[in-house]
Amino acid sequence: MNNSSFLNFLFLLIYKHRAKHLAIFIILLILVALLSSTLFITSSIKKEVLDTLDAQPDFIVQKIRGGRSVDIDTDIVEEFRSIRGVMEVKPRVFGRYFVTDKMQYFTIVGIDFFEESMDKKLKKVFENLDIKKFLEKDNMLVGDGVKKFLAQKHYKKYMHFKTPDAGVKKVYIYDTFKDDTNLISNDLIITDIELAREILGISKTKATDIILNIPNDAEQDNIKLKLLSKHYDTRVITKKDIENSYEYLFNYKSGVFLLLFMICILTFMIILYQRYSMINSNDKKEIATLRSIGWSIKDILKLKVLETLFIGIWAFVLGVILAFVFVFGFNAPFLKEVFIGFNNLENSVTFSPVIDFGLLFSLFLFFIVPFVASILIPVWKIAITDPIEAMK
Amino acid sequence: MIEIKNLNMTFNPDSQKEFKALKNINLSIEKNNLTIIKGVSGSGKSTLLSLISALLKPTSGEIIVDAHNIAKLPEHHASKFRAKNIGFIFQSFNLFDSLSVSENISLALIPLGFNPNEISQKTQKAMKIANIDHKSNQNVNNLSGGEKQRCAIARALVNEPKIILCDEPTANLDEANSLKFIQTLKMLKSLDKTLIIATHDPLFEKISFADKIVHMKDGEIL
Repeated sequence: MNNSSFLNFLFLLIYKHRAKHLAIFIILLILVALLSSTLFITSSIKKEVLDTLDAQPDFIVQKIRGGRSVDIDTDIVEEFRSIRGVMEVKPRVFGRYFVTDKMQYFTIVGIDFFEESMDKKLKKVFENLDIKKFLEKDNMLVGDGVKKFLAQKHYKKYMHFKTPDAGVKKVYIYDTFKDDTNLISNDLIITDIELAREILGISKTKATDIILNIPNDAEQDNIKLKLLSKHYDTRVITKKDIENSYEYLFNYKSGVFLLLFMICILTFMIILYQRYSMINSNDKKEIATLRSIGWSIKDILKLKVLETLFIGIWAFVLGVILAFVFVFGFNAPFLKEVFIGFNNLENSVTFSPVIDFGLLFSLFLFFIVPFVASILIPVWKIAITDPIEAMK
Repeated sequence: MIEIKNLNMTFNPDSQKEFKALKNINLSIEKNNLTIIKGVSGSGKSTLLSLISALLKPTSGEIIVDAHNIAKLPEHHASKFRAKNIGFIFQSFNLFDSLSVSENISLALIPLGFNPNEISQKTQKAMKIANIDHKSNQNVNNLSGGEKQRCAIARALVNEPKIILCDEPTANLDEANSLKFIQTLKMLKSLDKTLIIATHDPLFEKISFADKIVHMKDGEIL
């Protein structure tokens, strides 16, 4: 068979049957776009979560009183540093600042900008910052959610914070964080560590918690026991504990994803069933006619498979491109809320383009193989029956 | 040219639905002959055409075409045999509704491996013979019954086959068009084609140029 003649006829047939193909093409396009969007969103969130985990210290030590975490003495830092195997011991100052009328809060983090061993994730948040200028007066860097919230309250350049000693602190908005850090920085305010102490009412001898790293993983259990035996009123949160809590959160989101996925699978199955049973007498006649004029069963199957593949691949490619633009160009309106949610400040997260090609390929196979099979099996069944009978 | 020996065709053998469509058929058809196979519906005419065109494989027996037994040809060779040697004209024309006249006709040339230029030339030639070239680009849906018939004839001729098989060719035509079709058969015969017509139309009984009339009943030649 001459390939150019065959392909000419294939494209002619696709063009002439365009009305028949259009409905199925649109449904497939929507399904692929929806599934790819969820894949892109979860891949992007997953990467963000993994990066966040990567930047976490090995241990966070908190002081516990009455089951609640309270400020911890900074004297303890030197004691921790003296433990063999422990590195990078640092006190942290942070807390929540509630806006009572809206039941919403900001997370205030105090930073020692001259600290060498600063958290990588935080460093990313304010890279390119002119620190000298920033520290000239009481300035703050704010997340996008905080900025929008303050603007609604007519605080466009500064904000008055109430301090625990009944005072008021005027802090200027210096800048906002980069868009791609919104997932972690949306409700965040970063100030100099001393200013944070004033707003949060944490004295110079106290810290919110103490973080430390233990380079040798095998030592972690021993050191944890040592810390707890010396300081019975502390709680040690390990990186694994944080990972677990992310997993709980993420599994809930995966459940949403699974539900969405199942709906799509169900819709896809219905389409396949319809396609399978939609082979009507006209299709039968066409297949029988082709056989009677010398087309082999192999050629007919090839024609039908290529016709289906053409529609399927176009629907898949366009669906993926649409999803890419929808998620990474338009930031997945509506769908984003399902995965991110906002119980505090509305989050205007920008998804960073992350594509899991393995997963995308699996989706392609899951989509194309049954789609082609749904047409291939009935066509083959018709092609092997007596064409003259099929034409009557 | 065509020699059929002890041909039997049983559908669903060894089952409750077993049906003997053809029983011990023996028939000889000479080259350039017009053979009419007559019989009521279910007499086995169409099955015989399916077997002659190698669309079906018989349960037993031989079908010799030009000294080759085509009865047990593998599917791939059977379709090649059909593409080269057989032209079909059907009762309901069996044209692709969405395609134009020329597109429908050219379909029969694709399995023969011709390039698009050759296909175009051969299609033009067949359309001229069947007198349908003036409707070349028209969609077959917009043709009259007689025009559809001519389009089907052109498709049956385009691969320059030795044998043309017609299954109830006048069943969907009025008497005037049926008579025209019979004249076309004369023209086809003049082109050196071997024609086999399966029909129960009484008009065919009056054909003077028929070489053989075979009557069939319940899968047997009477």
